[in-house]
Amino acid sequence: MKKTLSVKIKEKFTQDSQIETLTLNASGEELAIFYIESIVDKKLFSSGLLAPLQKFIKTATKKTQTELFETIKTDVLSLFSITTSNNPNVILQNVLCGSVAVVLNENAMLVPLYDVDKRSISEPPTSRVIKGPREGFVEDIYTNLGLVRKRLKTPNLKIKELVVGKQTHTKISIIHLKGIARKDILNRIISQIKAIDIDGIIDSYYVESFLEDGRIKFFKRVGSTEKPDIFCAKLLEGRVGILVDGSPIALTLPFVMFEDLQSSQDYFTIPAMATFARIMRIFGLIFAVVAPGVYVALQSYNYRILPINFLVSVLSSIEGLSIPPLIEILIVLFLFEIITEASLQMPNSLAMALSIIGALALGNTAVDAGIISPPSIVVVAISSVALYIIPDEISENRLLRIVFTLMGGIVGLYGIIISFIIIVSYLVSIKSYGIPYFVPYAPDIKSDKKDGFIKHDVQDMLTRPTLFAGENKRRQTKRRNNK
Amino acid sequence: MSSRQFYIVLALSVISMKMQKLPSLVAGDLGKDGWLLFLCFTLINVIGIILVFVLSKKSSVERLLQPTRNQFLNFLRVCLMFFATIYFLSQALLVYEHIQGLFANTLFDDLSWSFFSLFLLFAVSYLAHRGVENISLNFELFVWIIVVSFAILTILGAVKCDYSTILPLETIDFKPVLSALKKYSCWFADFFLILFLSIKAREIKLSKTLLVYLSSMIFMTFLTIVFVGIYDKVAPLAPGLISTISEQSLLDLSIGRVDWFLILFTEMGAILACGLNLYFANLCIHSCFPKAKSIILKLINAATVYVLDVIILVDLNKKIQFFCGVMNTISLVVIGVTMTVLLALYIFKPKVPQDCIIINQKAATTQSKRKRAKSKSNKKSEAEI
Repeated sequence: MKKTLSVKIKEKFTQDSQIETLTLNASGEELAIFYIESIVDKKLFSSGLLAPLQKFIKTATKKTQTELFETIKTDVLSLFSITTSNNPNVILQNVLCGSVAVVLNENAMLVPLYDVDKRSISEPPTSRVIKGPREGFVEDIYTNLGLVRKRLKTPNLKIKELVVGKQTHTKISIIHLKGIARKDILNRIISQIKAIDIDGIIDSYYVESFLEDGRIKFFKRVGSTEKPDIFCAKLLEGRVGILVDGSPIALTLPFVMFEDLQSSQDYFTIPAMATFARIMRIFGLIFAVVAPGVYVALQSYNYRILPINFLVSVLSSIEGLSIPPLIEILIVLFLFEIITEASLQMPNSLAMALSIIGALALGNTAVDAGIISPPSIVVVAISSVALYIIPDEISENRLLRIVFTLMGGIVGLYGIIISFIIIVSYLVSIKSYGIPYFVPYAPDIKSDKKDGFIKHDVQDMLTRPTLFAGENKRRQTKRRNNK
Repeated sequence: MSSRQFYIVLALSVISMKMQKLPSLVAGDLGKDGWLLFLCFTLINVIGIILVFVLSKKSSVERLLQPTRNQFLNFLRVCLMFFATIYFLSQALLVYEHIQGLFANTLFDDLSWSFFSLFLLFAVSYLAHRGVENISLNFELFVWIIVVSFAILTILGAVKCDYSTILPLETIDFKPVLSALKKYSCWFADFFLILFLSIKAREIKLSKTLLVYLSSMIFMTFLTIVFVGIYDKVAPLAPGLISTISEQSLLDLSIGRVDWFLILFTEMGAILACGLNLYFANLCIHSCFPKAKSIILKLINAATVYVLDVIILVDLNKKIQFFCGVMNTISLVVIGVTMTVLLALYIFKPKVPQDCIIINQKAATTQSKRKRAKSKSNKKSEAEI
């Protein structure tokens, strides 16, 4: 005997207790409804779908199956954008994605009623601002797309939706502004995402990993942000954006190093202040990475560089220490790393207590016991604070700091300068979708430097970044206040 | 390589390769008149640069690296490339050795240079492996740090300098200067560097190249005057120009030798220049043996620099006569003669592929014209929209 569509669907859903099945009788025909209660809007389901259906069934006169199907689709459930299918696999997939399947004989109507409790829009913890928008992306892709649409009300905003992940069927939206983004970059990103063959995409990091070129992935090559205003600003510069369902972190491509030195705060303050902040960030970054290494190098080999008085005070504070400076600073760094990792894993209520114990009790005791010296704690503490000046690059910089410390301890400033040259030389060779990593400084692009270390007024930024933008390169036709 | 990068690389590598031991060696031979040697070599190089540009108008410089069908030409070309390899290796070696000199007192009294120089060898080999584009990007990125460091160090030295030490000018003895011209010529074949740099550069102009070169060499001459002005008779004993020029300026302030950090920044230029020379050595040796694996040739070149530094140039002052003698023979006689013959043959050859610098320049200008036309049409379409 031939199996009906509803039987086929029921067979596919066996052993899944989450699936709800309702059976109604409309003019002698069996009407089966399949849905997953936890992912559909219950209110809309009962009042918008179930109630009108029941009302219709009560008053329905005898009709053919096709007429009945069409009447339900066009009259009873006319408020919904319904799709139809007779393929059990398609129906199954839609039900799993939050649709309600209304099956009548060999056809099914798929009513999208997806609704899952989601986090409300709030300020992301990694990019807080004093001035400027405080909205942040959430885990729901449609909310995120709404936040983008709210800011870019243009028909040029194009969104391509892909589903990736054999088990997770994660929605990925590739967003760009037509004419502003470069087509070759866009096509390359689309083909790269289409080529992903993995069982699950849990977070945007999974996609990021597939978009990065090269085997050695020491430095990030994909931009990321949690803020829709930054995301939209990057789209306006000609970048391509990627939103992944289930992740509050949006990706942007191509990525250049200078992006991480920019903050949304810079655009809500006077250019002079933004310039100052950017210069501070780069100095802070260099200080954070190099300071422990330089300290060890100065103490071990190049102490003649230090002023006599300062040298005397340092020497008096390290008097009695039995371990060499390199080991000492490595111990402090190691302790700091342990405290950082532990405080990330620990419940919030305990994290405060841990930092007090870690920073004060352990630090003081270690100094008193003569294991470590106060200057090394000061250097590591300042360096660690400075690391957070660029929150997006903390992981890379934490590792680099250890490399520089080791080189400084082994061969002094000579080692530091050699390491610096090698690392920069490697960074200079990196390209993100053909765009050099150090643009607009190496290679030098004068017009792009208006949003560089020395930030110009928005009115002066007449063009988009030269290498990112597609055909439409101009932001504004001319400066409003012509001198 | 863009024209901007070309000029930056030219200026910084010219200064970086001469800023350390050379002025004190010259001071040992010429005393207060050492600056004159720098000026003489500047003039010689100006002629060399003009010659390079004239020849590259007539022929393709890039062809020097590619095998030709004519066996005699090919033989000459291989000879030239082989000696050019030796020349560039020697330049890399000099800078390599100078870096040791800079850190000698602070570091390599206690540590073994033969072991720890491997770090530097790795860095310059890596730079050379990455190629001239990468090196020029590095130079471009660090240009302001290096230039500002040079400027501050020069000012610090200039305020302490006694300029009367180079006077009176009437007493200049030209005989030792002439013999020094022969002795130190291997340090000053800058036009040869420009010849190879121009292969990878676009839209470079003779006038700008001359201007950049002259400015760099005048700066270098001034640095030498300051150096001799500060140290006078003991200048030959000073370990190097850049590490000593600001040594006495900050003594009164009791702030230590913070100028050392500036010296370190200028040293970045030296490391990059060393990498650049090693890159050209790799390029030349590869054109001699095009069938050999390039990575093996690169390793051989790097190993040569290391071995020569550890064995031959253990003490540069003692072996300078020998080193300069060998290098001058190579740089003056062999490279000069071979290059002239080779380029002359290229000039008089009727059919020459038109891909020299000037042709590149034309291509670039036509490209930029096309771009301008494109952007105009874009503007029009935007306006229509």
